Amino acid sequence: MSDFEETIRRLQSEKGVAGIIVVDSAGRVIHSTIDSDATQSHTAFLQQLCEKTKTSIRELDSSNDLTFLRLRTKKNEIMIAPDKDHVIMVIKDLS
Amino acid sequence: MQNAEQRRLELERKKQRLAAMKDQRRKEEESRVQNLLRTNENGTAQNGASHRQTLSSEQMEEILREVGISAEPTIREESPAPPRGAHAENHLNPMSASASNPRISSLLSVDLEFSTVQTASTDNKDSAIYSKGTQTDDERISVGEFSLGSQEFDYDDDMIMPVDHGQFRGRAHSHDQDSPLPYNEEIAKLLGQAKHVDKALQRQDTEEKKSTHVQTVQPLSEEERNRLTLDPEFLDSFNRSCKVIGRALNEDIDIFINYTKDPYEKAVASDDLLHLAQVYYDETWTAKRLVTGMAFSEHHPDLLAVSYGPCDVPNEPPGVIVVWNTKSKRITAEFIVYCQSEIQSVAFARFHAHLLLAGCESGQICVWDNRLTSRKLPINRSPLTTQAHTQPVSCLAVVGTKNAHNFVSLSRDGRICSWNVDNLTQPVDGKELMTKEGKPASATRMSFPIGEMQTFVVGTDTGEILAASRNGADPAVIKTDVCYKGHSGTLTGIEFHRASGVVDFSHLFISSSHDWTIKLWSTKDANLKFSFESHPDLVLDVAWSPVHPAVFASIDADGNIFVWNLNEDVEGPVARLRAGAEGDTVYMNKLIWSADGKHVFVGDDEGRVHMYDVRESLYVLKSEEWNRFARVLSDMKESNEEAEKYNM
Repeated sequence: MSDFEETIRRLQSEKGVAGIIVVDSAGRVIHSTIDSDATQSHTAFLQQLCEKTKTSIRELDSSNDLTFLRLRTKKNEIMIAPDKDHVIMVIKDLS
Repeated sequence: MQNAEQRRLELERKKQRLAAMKDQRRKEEESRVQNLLRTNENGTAQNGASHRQTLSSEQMEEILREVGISAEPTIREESPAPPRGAHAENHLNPMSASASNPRISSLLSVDLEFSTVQTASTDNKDSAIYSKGTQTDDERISVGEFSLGSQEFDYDDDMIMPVDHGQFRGRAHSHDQDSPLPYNEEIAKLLGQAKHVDKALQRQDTEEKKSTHVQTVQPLSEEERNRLTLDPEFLDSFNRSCKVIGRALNEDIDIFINYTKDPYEKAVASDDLLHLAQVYYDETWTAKRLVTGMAFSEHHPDLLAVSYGPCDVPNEPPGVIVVWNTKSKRITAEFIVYCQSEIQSVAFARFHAHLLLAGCESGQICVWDNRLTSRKLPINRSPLTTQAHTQPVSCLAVVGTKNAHNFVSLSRDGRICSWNVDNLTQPVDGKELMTKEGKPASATRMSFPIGEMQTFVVGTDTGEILAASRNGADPAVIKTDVCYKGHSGTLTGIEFHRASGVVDFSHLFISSSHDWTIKLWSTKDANLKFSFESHPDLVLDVAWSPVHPAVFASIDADGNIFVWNLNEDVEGPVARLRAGAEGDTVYMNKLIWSADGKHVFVGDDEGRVHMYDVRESLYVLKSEEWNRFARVLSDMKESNEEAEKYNM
């Protein structure tokens, strides 16, 4: 098992984690633990949201940048960690 | 000819006015651009969107010049005296930008493709086009097309300078709304067909963006993926992000916690556990009378006898008893009886379905028979002798079995009399209750354990609880066996545990007092005791649920009704409710549970009896409640023993 998969597996075993998606900077899926349909939709929307947030943050202060995005929703919590060449999205069930 | 002359003059005037307007507009634009530049210098010079916007305009102009088209639109020729702006920034005028757009469509599209635009501003542009496109009036469209350019500018301004937000927003609006029609017409003429081209261009532009977006969704090849997942640099940053996420996942803080919320508020506000169902009240008989006692009939569990104290109205009997039918939806008084003395306590004769007993202020005991519906006065009353009571009879109880039962009465001076219900001419026996020190006790309340007729407990004025047995050797005195000390105020309520089940709790009793506390005791175990101190005022009565082993209810002088479930919480009530309207304190005096444990009845000082429905969880119970309660009690005992050990 590669180092990459090992890390994913460890993250997956955290309490309440329902899904992990790793995409590259262009939005292409590198790894996903949920089915492909859900992955596609999540990636498409969350990537857009992340980009938009990033732009907004930069426009407010050009020396600033987005480092972590946490969304609390009624059903779950979505954590998005954008990086230079990839974005990790983790969906956590709230219960 | 004169007409023509006039027209010429008019035209001239119009032209002048137009020129003045344009002049003003130009000045506004100038100052705005200057502002913009100033803020750009103030640190946002590298701002992506605005930079691109200004650059592209400048570039456009350059390109235009190269191609041989003047960046300044032909409007210039028509306007008589346009003040040529001293600033080069003047050319950033949105009008010129939008006017020149169509002519260099091919070049512009190349330019757009070159900049990877996936920004918030592009989205806004799209939506602006959409809303303008819905307008049908040609003139308005052209105006829209024009103001679109300035809006773009304004939008960027907003993004760059949130401080100046209001100011620019205001300007943008004036641009949109106050544009004089002739001026717009000119521009519309100029733009003419161009606007269609412009729109088409922009549509094409968005389509391009969409297609690039679709491209990004295309999956990675296996090879690329492998390469990426083995790339040490990628792995490094990936692991770092994962660690952050891991920490975020494990952060166990409820960010929505509300510290200002009163944990009891929910139970109080919602009718969760207690719900006022009915108020029993009679204008003639019960108004303004204090509820002094309540008792349920064993034969007819629907019937509740309530005794009322005196009222101020002259010629009204000082003592009234009303028997209410609690099952009826209507407020129905089944019987109303009265006597010429204040009534302190009331009881149904347990083994005589028709007899109603009452203890009077005078010390007499009165009996009514409900078969004699026309007779409102007692059919029988005890004599006022020293053998019986000479002080107010505060408590009545019928104890024993069907074939061997006694009717026991307690008066304030601590005298306890046993009677034969059929013969009230003299008591079977009458004894004085003595404290351990040998003094007469001033008794307030009395309670017998379930199924027990000899031993009992009595609460006193001083707060002591005396446990004694009726059949002592001494014919005139009952000696106290055990004295429970703990309360510091007059005892207002005392009751033995009532619910019977798999575990026997009949040794438990509970007491309420003027010292604001409720205490739990056991006749078996001195270490088993507990004090409940949640009431904010004098506690006036307390009563066990007849069905749930761990539930009791209590009332205080502040108008609060508490329901406790010791299996859930020993520190505080599971439900609390304040009787009466907001800000109005109802003085609660007496409390009783219905035999099925579904309702709590509370009597106040205005002659009302309030019936509260109790939630199902307090009377539909699982068998484990008994064992749970046993565990709760043993925990209480254990902690008491430990505390004692440390105090030694």
